[in-house]
Amino acid sequence: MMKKSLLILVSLFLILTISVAGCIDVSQPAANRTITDMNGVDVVIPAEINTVVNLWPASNSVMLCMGAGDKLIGTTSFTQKLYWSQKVYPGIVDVPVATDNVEELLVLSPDLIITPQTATAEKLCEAGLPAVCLMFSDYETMKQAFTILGEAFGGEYVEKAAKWSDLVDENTARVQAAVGNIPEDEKPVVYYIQGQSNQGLYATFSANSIMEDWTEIGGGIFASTLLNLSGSTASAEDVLALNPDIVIIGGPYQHELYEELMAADEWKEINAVKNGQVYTNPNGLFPWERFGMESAMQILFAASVIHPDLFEVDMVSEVQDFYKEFVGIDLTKEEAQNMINGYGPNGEDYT
Amino acid sequence: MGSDSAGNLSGRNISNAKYRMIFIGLVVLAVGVFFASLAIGRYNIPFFDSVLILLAQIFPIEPTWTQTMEAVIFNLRLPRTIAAVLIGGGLALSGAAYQSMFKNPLVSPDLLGVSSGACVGASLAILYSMGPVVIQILAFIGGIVAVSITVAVPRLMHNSSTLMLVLSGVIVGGLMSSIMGIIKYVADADTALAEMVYWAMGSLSNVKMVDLYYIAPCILLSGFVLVLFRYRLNVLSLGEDEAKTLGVDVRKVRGIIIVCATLLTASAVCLAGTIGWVGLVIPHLGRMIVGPDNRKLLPVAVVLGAIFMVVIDITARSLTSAELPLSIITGLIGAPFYFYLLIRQRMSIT
Repeated sequence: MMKKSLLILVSLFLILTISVAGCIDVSQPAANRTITDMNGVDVVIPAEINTVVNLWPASNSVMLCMGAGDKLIGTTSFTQKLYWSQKVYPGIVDVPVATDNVEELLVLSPDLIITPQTATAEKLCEAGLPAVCLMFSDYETMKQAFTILGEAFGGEYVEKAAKWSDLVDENTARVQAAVGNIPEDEKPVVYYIQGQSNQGLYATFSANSIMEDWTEIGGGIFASTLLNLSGSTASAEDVLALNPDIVIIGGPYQHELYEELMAADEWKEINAVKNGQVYTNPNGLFPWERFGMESAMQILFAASVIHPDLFEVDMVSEVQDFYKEFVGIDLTKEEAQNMINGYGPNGEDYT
Repeated sequence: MGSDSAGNLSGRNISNAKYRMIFIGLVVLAVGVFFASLAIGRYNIPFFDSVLILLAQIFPIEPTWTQTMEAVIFNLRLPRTIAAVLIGGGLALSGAAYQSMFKNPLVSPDLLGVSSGACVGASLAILYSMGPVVIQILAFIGGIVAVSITVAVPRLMHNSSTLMLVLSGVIVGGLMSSIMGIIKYVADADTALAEMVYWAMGSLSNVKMVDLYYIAPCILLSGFVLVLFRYRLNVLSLGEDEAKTLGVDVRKVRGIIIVCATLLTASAVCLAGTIGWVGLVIPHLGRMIVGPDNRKLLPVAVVLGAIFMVVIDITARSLTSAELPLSIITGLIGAPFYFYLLIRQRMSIT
């Protein structure tokens, strides 16, 4: 009796599997164009992109900055928590937080999935999902990535991406015209503190990072480059021995770290503190000094604090113009100033 | 075995006079290493200046050095050197106490799961952005829970062999690392996770004087109790019946020793994260030098552990411009050294 029922069960199971396999529709969803992602992989996507799942905070901020927040049907919790995300697109708090779970994404069935990881993009594409790998880490890769994003969204977004590339080149040229002729031995040493979380005064970024790029464009020497740093934590004694001329502190914990640095005895005689050149970094839809579209303005900001005597800029009106042009909203002078000071639109502190 | 006061933990006993000489020699060495640690670092301070800076604390000396030099010594090097002394001494002491109490040469805070349990507790506190006091309390609870499970498994199996305890340690270690995995998976990759990775690998780079103010008393107090109990530890290792006839309340003494040794390990984890190998290797080194008698072993293990940890920390912060996690160095030195000890002592592990 046992054996017989088992046999029936097994054959039922077999029949079911075979029939289900026959039913699966392996063809692509209605699609009529392909785009090429950062890895050179061609991905088939629908003609019009209305729904996007974005798995990376940095590119979420880019979508919000392009004014494409309403396309998001899956975002990250980091993106939701930022005051500037909520200001630019209030609906962001209602967008569910997405993961790279294939089955959940199949249920959501978005027009486009954006991930910074090659392996994730491959995995999702194999499941028939329209996933592109969009990783960027410096100005060149950002230009490429934003262009791809613009092409995917079409219309005004193509122009915005092109405009952004031009803006980076323009700002670089503006800064270079003012500080480009400084001899190497007169360039100040710039030390950057990464305040994404509070990991002390010696959490920084490695040499060859985007921090090196905007420091060098702005006529400075990046401390991690001098230290040959490959990791993201520097030795306290090495940093002090460098005697940095300028310190720039970024991230949500910048104000806490600023207080800590100004109170520390070991920093009192360091050039940056003695000469009053310790700065917090602007922080909007994303920390400017990292990535995101606002990083185009980081070039101006960095030069203005590295060489205040040679390069002057009205950052408030720069921010207002930028937001009008790319995001499409008007910021008051006060709101712009709050962003430059690293706070939320109404002066909210992240800590 | 009756004559060997620490079960199958080998090593020869030495005379009191020789022990005194060795102990004083080690203390002198420890003091030397302590001051060397204040003078050595990547920020170049001329040796003569660093001596003057220290002397200036007691004698009125006109400063010939910069304020930065003084701050580097007192704000950067001093806290981590004190922490290294406390952690090295504490881990070695708790390792020696565990080993002798369980009559088991393989036991260490790592194997019993205390370190990983404490790490889980601390990470939970970090995950919910708790303050340093809560981190320490949870680290201690995590450590106690882990060691209780490890000790309970052999009891439940009615099997008190070394192998059973080791196996139980492996089970608890595996469980704790899975829980650690869950916590890391849930943690925000950009913020909390980095802090947890730092904890799991061990580092003294973020130790400040304020951290020492409330963790140092914990370490000193529980360490003091363990050293006071060193004779009772000898008695315990004779076996339960003999201990009773000698008037020792076995259960009470065991409990006190476990609480103190766990508190030591958890406090060390609080200061610098999990640092492997110290609690396992240093007690063996101590036994090689002064024999298995706990009355001599425990003080020697404390000093040896302190010297070892300070030297490791000097290496970690001087080798490269990026600080090396301590566990990497202790593992690279500790693992081959333990192998050497095994060959040398021909330990019979049953």
